[in-house]
Amino acid sequence: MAELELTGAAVYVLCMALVALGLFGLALKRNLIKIIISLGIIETGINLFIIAIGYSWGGTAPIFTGMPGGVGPAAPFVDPIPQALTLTSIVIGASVTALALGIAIRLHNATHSFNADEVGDRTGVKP
Amino acid sequence: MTFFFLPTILYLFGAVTAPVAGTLGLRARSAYVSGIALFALLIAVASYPAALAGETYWVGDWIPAGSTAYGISLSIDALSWVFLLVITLIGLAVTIYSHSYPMGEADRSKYYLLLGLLLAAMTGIVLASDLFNLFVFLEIAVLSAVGLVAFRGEKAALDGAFNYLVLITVGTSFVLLAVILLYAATGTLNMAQIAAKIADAPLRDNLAVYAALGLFFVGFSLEAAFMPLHNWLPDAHSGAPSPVSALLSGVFVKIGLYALLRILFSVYGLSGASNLLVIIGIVSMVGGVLLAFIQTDFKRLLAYHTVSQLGYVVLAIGLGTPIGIAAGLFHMLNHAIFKALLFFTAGAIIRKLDTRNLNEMGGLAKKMPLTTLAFTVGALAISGVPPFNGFASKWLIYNATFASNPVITGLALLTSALTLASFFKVFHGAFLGATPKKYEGLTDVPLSMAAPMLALAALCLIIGLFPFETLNIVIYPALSAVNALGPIALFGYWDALLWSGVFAAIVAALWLAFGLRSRSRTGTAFTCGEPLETRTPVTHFYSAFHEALAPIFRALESYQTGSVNDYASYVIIFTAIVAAVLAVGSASWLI
Amino acid sequence: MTPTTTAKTPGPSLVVRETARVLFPVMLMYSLYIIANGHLTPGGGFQGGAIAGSAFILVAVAMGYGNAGRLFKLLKLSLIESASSVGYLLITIAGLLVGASLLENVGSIFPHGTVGALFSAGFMLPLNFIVGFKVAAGFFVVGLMMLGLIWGDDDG
Repeated sequence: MAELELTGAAVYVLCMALVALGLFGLALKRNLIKIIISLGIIETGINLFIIAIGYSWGGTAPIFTGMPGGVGPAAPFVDPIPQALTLTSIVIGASVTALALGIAIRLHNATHSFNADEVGDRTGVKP
Repeated sequence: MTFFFLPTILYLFGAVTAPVAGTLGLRARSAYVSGIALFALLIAVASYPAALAGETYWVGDWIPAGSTAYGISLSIDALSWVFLLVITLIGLAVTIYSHSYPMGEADRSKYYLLLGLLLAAMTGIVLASDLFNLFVFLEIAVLSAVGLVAFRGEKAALDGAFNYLVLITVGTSFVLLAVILLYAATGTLNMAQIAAKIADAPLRDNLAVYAALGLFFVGFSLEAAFMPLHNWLPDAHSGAPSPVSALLSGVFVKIGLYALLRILFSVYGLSGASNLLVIIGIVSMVGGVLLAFIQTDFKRLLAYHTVSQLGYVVLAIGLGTPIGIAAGLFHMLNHAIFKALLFFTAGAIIRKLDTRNLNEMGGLAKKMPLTTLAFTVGALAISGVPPFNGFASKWLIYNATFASNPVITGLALLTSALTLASFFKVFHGAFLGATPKKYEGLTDVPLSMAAPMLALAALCLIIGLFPFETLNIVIYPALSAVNALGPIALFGYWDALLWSGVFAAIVAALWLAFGLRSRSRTGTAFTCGEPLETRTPVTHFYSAFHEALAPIFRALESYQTGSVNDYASYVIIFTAIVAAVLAVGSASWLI
Repeated sequence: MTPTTTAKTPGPSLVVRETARVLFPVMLMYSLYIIANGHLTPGGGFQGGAIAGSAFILVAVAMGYGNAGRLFKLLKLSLIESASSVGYLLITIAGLLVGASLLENVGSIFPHGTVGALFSAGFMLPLNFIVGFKVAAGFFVVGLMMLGLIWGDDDG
């Protein structure tokens, strides 16, 4: 049993490591596309974390297969709410990625560069 | 019949059917969306009794069985109602103002679609009483706001939108992580149920709940543009079209603050003073106004003032006393009104002059009298000059801070003085003086843009003249929602008319003393038609101040690098600081 | 907006085009199956719509941006997308109009049927289809716009 607990915690640590990886990619990478990919890595890490939260050992998929009056499911369900939350989060992540890519492509058309430094606008602070 | 949730549905409906109305013509479409916004405002006002009583509406009729909540719920209480009022009011003004505002070649139907989505999502955030619902509406609002910022497709707007999207998505990801941690710890997503479940044990015992607190704090600090993490705000709010800037600066950043308050007070049940919020408030207040002081771009200046005024709000709320929270909420309401007014005037000027640089403007007072009047009201209101609403809320803030630490009051007064100086610079540069030759044929703005401006200006005056009535009706009921009951003791004699009389007397005395010998010349022979810089005692003060603080200005400037990578590093550092504060101290250091 | 690549992009080869021609209807059928069985098995509106969207983008990449644009106009996807939004809102409000709650699965308007049958679960089936169409159209529009921004109006 101790082995199983370690595995459980390891999953959470891995997901948080993904989020940290994405954050550091966001802070260090200059290419706009790599920034968007880092954002995707953060979201993937969080989605995996959500699913891992809902899992219970030895559980089955939360689909009701038994007819009324018939045989019930063979094993306890895993929690279906985190799965619904993950679906919503994936949709949101897809929309954010699409929007960010659209803006990045337009910036590329205007400046012919994907580098955040060249694309970035630093005007306005001069007195 | 509960109907308080209708504004959300109404805005959504208006958003998707605006293109249909657009087939009947431009005026028909604008009239249609304005009618919907007006209807939403009326519903919000009519929900006041429901807000006082505190109603909950279960979507899909999934009423809780026993004590387990199965469904999504929308609920309204006095705190939500304040924000709902702000959203619908400014939403109506923005919708009417957008009618004649040029949007570039893009399709105006898409503009109304995004605007309707943004308004619907913001009302959804304030009405949500389910954590995940809050998150989803927050994301919808972010996506529509980014679309609106990038609407005209200029490069500065696109860059601002990109930074905005990336940073805000990091913030909402932290919020999602916090929601999941709370769900893992308590097994439910309903705010009231979570509050009941975590109220038993002390916070520090449950690591998931404790970590969620820190993550919520960082996530919503990013949304509400607290000072170390405010970097996206100037780029985004100045790149957007002006009605959008009014909505974002006037309402959207406050929704982030609302969500933070809701989490801290309703879910975690904390109350009392928060040192971290007070420190952040002071830093935002002073840093924002110092950065605003040196701007030459009209809209960036207004954006930095938003950061500064929000610092006032956060400072007052962080004090934790009833008068502090009332002052913070009141100032939030007033700021929404006069910031929207200022952005409207900025939009009017920029639209007519086709430039945002203050150095290129001049002499607009003669050409655009209505806009000048609106701008004057807005500038006086934001600087806290009687008899306008800014004075009323700032007076309340001075009262609140004086009770705990008079040094803070001194800083707040200094910031108000700097705000007034900064707006005097704008007024002097843009409205006084001689008009450059190329603006000879200017006329004032059309009625659809002037009417919202003048209505908001009138509202500034009315709230300023009747502050106690506004407080009693709007603000004080919200205090019970944030566990801040108790008597509110003001000191000092507070009568708006009396103080405006005193202020006018002081100004008249200064006028006579300095003689106002303004040496303004227009040298047509030497400078090819451009007027020379006018020099009054105030501009001497301004430039002396500017040179004295030059190193501070340079340090502050270098913080705003324009690169999203640096901003992400700031977020990481801030998260580390909050984590350290929570780990070493306890929740009471945070609040 | 000016495309960024000025060189003529070489078109896809014969193998790619023919494979796409075979795969496209299969992918569409699969997506319709997933959408229709959303209330019984894993899947539903978004998942099926994403698969259909990928099928459309496959057409755009394999058979040329011009052909994909013609497919878009042929299927009237912009109309379907807008109608889906309005349809979803109408179903949401339908509960309110009858006197029940918002977004409620009212048995009188949407028959509930028996558990496990295809035509059951009230408004889940129409909602899944509405969401599926909207997502498919949405992904197709996004894909077309991005390809259009990159390639211009290339008939390759």
